[in-house]
Amino acid sequence: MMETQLTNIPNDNAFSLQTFEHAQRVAIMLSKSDLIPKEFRGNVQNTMIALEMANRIGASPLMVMQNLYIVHGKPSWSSTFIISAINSCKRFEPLRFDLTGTGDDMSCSAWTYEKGKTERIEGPAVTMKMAKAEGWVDKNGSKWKTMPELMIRYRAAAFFGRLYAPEIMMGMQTREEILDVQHVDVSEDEKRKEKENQRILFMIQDAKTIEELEAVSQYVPETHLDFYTVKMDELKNGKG
Amino acid sequence: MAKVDWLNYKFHASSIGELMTEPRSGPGLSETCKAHLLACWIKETYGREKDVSNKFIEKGLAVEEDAITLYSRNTKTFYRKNQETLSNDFIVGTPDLFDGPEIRNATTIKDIKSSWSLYTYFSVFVKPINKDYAWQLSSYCALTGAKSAGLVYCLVNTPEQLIWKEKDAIKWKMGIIDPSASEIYMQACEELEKAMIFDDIPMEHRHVEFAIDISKYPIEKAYERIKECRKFLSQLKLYPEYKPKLEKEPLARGT
Repeated sequence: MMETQLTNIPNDNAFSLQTFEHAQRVAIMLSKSDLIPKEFRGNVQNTMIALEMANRIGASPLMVMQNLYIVHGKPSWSSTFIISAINSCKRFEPLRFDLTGTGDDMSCSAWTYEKGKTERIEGPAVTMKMAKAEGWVDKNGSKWKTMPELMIRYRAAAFFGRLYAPEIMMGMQTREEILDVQHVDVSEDEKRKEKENQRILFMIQDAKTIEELEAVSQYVPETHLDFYTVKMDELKNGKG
Repeated sequence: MAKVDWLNYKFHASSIGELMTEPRSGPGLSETCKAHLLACWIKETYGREKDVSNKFIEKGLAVEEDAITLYSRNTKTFYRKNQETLSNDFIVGTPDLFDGPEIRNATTIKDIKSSWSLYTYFSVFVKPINKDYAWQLSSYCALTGAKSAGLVYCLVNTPEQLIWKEKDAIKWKMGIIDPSASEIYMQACEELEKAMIFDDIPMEHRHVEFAIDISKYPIEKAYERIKECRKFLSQLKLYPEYKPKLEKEPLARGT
């Protein structure tokens, strides 16, 4: 059964046995380099993922590693990388921007031509009104306040990429997009609850005596009851 | 524009310290106090908050729950951030943590502060207690009936987003175009991260609690001051009744 599965996986897939082993060797070698960003240095697993991404979009592994950011646990591209990847993917002419209006009326869309064609293709317009309505501008330390012309172009490029070159974006957001929308996805109450649950887990884990463990018993949510019971058994059996 | 009943205005517990500052000379309200009252007047009259956000406040808000976790783990007592806002005839406030069966029947009130760095954290060991915080705790005790109070300082990791902002600030300050090509910038970032992440420092070194003697911050005195402040606010005529004094007269329009 296993043999059948393995032979069914195409050879160009990074997770076929042969390519996996090769990629792993490359990843080990690259991860030892001092020239790669620290998120990948000595981290074969992260380097391997970067290699797979580079392979999929036809970019150099070093370029991917330098432009891949982990923000709040999510991998994201730098906006400049998106623009550069669109420019160098050979499907399009270099990306251009139509910037109109000023202040609140500023609007920007990214556009270009497909290679060898004359039909202009244009990404959705990004407007300052949209940026304000989405709360990107009002976030503390938002670059939309200080560099709106740059940020609006970055966002327009991300919108263009998502629509016309999703294979480059690989379903990921740009670093700026993640920073702009964080705190919007999850309510404050949910976040607090999550932190409380994490706190209880830590306290169960830390408990060195039955008394310490019992002190948190009334707060343990159902989802952590198994963990609590196992820990209690350990303490009762003197393994804590 | 809102009409405010200044004679019954309630002040936030965190602002009582400012109201209680003494004038440099003579009787009356201090300049600090008046400045705060002016901010209250603007906020209530025109509905706009004074923007007082900075990186220290931002971190404090972002890591509040992490700080409570650190404190809970170190004291082996599960704490949950209080969400209930309390008020009496003079003060309104939301205490962070409490000991006791419930907030209105608390025995001890605790306020959690998150330090920005290892240096700001350890500075509280040698500096006198921050009076604003002490007045804040005294106010919370008045609101809850608690008889004792603790001021807790915690040192927890700075969130990724704030570290990024600091890195961006360095980048712009140094005029860096390609960050990965600048050794000095990369070095600065590494140092910055080291200064903002504290996982290598034992957990028990990262919290300190000061018991506050609330009898030194008598709430009755605060109530008296609040009455004076209310009077000041109710008599404040800034527009259109304001008649500028000659030496402070603004430039005439159009000049």
